[in-house]
Amino acid sequence: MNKTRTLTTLIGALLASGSAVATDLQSVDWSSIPSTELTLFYPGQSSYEWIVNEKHGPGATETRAGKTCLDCHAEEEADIGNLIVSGEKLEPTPIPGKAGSLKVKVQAAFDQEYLYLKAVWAAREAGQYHDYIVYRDGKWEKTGSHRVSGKVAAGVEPPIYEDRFTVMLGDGRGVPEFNQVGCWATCHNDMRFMPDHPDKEAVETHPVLGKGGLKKHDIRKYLLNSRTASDRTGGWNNTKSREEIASLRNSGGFLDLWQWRAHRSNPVGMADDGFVAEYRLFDAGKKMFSDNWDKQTNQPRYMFDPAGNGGKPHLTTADLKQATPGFYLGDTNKVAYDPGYAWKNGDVLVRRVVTGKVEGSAGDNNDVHGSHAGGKWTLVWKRKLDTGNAADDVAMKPGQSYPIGLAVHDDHVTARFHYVSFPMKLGLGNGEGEINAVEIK
Amino acid sequence: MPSRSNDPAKKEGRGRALWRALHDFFEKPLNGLLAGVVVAAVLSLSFVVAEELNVRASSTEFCISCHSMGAYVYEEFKQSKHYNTASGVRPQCGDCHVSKRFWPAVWDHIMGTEDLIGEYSHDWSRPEVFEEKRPAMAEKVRMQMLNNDSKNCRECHVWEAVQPKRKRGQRAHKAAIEEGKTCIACHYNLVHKKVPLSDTFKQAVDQYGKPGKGLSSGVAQTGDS
Repeated sequence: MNKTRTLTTLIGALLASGSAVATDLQSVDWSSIPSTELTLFYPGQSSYEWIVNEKHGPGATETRAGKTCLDCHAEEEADIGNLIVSGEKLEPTPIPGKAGSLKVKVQAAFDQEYLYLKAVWAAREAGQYHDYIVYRDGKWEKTGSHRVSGKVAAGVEPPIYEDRFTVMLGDGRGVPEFNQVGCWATCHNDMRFMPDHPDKEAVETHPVLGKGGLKKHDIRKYLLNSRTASDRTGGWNNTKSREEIASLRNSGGFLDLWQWRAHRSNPVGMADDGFVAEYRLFDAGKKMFSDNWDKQTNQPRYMFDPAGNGGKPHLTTADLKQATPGFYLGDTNKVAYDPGYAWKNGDVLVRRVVTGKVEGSAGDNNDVHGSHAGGKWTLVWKRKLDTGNAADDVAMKPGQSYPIGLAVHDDHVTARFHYVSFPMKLGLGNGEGEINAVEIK
Repeated sequence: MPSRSNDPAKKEGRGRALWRALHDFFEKPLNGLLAGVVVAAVLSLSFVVAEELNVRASSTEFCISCHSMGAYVYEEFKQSKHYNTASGVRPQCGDCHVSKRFWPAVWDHIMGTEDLIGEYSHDWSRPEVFEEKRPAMAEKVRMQMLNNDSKNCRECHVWEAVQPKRKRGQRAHKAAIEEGKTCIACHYNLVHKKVPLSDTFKQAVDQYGKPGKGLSSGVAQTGDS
């Protein structure tokens, strides 16, 4: 009896371990995995508050009745994007020449342990640089930003901002409005670049979000479940107590948010791992990027190792137009900043440092690779279905479906100036989703 | 000396005399016929006059003779799709705001005398005075339309025959018919300047017809800001 039980246990364990053997991301046969072509569109200042109020017209009634975005707007993505990007509606600062929508081809697969994603989208340029610092008259100045920053719009600074691909994922229960209105559940009228954003001082003095709490200076994504009340402007300052917020997160009342970044994560084959709750935050642990700036000395912390950078510790502004081998400062090509070097005007260093030495939940997206060729980004992504980090990750199971939203930032933009998807479902082997992952045996 | 009007005997006498006179008059069939014709003519004329009054009082011309209507809502109407139709169909104010049938229209006009009082008790030359009143006026009309199943909309628009151009409209109309919704539930900001939705109206709309699953968010939107 004991022998039989032992044998059964052994066979079970072998089978279990066998099914959990992960596929190497580079060996996934994507040609055998069905693809879905999604149309992501430009959302402008549409927000949760816009969706449920009169400016959404009849849609406000439909949304309050429980309909999802796709119930009314399926196949209208390009039209909506074109209208908004033109500045005719919901966009007070249109970006000249920006397209209203973007096609993204998505494929998904899974095994018993991992989720595999592939996304392909057109990108005229790679967008692999981010903001940088330039040496001028004896000091270093931060420069370069996204297209709608004041200095870029005024022509004082160049538009330079990394391309990004974002996944927002829910467990289907913890944040029910995400199933219905998708990423708009996190988007409010009082966020930055939105019409009712509070001033910096108001945010900094807020007990939960400001200097005494999260140390934030502006308002970014948040969930209404973390607020006691909201109105047409949102509810940024009506935060629940820290205890209530922590309790919500522990009971799954948050959304998972992963972002692949062409400059700040791709060089080390990763994407960041964050979540949205009372704010958009990073998971516990150490993420892959940090600032290359010493606030005490107002100087960079690192420079390029001249040995791997053509004998120079820096780049030039001309380099920023192309992805040179040293386009990022990473673990293997950086050395401590040398203030004694003969720096001259126009010498450039990147303002971010990237590392593969991540820790904890913040490093869960550690097998993510984007390559830019032929005017397209091709991104492949491998992530554990269940990272074991329940406090800041959604745990997935084969056979289940999960609400999902996707976004792409391209052409040097940030925040809301992205392309987004309507709320969708990711089905893991059940065919229920707009994106259906197939099982890899 | 008692007055004549207080003399019961004389009162009774006059009543009997009148009765007798009527009796004598209607003894002749021709007289009865004549009286019938006269009564019918008077009633008919009254109806014609009343109907004419109804029509005139429902006309745009009549409505905008008041400053509060002419200066604000009429100007908005002229910019609207209801005013500028490709087919040339152009409703009058009353087509949307006054009942079509006779007695309900009479009732609407009687109730409308309140507006007459409002017209002369405010200084409508000041736009801020109108804007202050606008939400309450819009709320009143919206609730009326909700409570009568958008009756005036339906006098012109046959729901089943409406063919929205866009997919969202086609889907929404199909669902609305199935769910027993009503026009004003969605089309609450047509023709005139947009007015925010009140919580009362939102709740009334959400409970109208076959209620949906409801908004998924756990936090209700409260109040205007």
